[in-house]
Amino acid sequence: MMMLLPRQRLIAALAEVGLPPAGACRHSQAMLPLFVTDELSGRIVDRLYPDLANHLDRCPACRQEYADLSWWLAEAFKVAHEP
Amino acid sequence: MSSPLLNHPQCLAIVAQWLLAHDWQLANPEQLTNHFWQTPMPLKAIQDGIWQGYGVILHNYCCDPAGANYQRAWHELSQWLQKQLYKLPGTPKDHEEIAQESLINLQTRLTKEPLTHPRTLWAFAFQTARNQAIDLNRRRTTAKRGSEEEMPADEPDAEESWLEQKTLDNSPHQIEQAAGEAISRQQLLTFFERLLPTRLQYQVAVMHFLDNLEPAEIAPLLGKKAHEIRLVKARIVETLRNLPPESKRDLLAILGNDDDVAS
Repeated sequence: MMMLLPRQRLIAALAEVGLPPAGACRHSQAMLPLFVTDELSGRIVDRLYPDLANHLDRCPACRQEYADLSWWLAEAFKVAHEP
Repeated sequence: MSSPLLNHPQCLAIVAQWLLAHDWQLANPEQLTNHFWQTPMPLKAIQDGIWQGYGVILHNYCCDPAGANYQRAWHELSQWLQKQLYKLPGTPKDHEEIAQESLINLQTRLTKEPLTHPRTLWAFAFQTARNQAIDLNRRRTTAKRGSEEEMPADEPDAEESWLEQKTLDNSPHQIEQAAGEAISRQQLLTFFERLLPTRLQYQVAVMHFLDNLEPAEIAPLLGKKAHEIRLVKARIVETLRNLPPESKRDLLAILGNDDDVAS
């Protein structure tokens, strides 16, 4: 997926409504461990996994799971903040 | 200001401390450091290297029932998972039950098929435990209702909430037209200021939508974690999608700098 320009991002945010594709949630959940692991180690996951990043903006259930896993993993390893 | 870079002996000392603190015995500091060391690196990169590197080692032993370290590997994973579960609400009995069922599921899964990305072992274990906690809660709810009837399976798809979402009033053609026009940053700043209820949301909106930064890039600038920024961003997107038609027209007009867009 190409990187969106700033105004395209806003327009996409307004335009992307409707059902996620069938199986999108299952696919997202299978990818979540990789997504949260890489994100916690500072990788730019929005560019590595743009479809999942986009899905998380749109799907409350997957977003909740993402939030739980991210919080849990960060707590477990208490990763230092970069200044 | 960037973090100081630590050299190899400093890295070894940190790794040794970490292994001791977690009672991780399946690698010595040199072995584990070899998994990620390349050049002098900041503390955070070393910490990430440790837990991900050890995750790989643990994963590989857990997938090898014939190996000498198999039992020890599962013991370490079990100890670690139980320790983490106690951070969650619930009784010790609940935690024990979730831990046991999670470990059985993990063992079944890893024996059948190793993870594609072994460094994700910890997150995968959390996900399994989370699913077990949801299952346990569902079973209890069912029992409380005194019904033998199975509750619906936990379908993660949030179609209901999607169905409730309003569709955009403007046609794709109009959106494209809006995209083709020049953007007015000042107008958008004013719009965000009016629309978004907190300073943090405003800052994230500006950095993400106008400055083209991703959550992982915004987080250090605001002293937050990347996942916290992502959740703020999701709230902003939700706010944008649920704008009243009038505000949505205003925003599209700003984006297109074209009054016709709103018509």
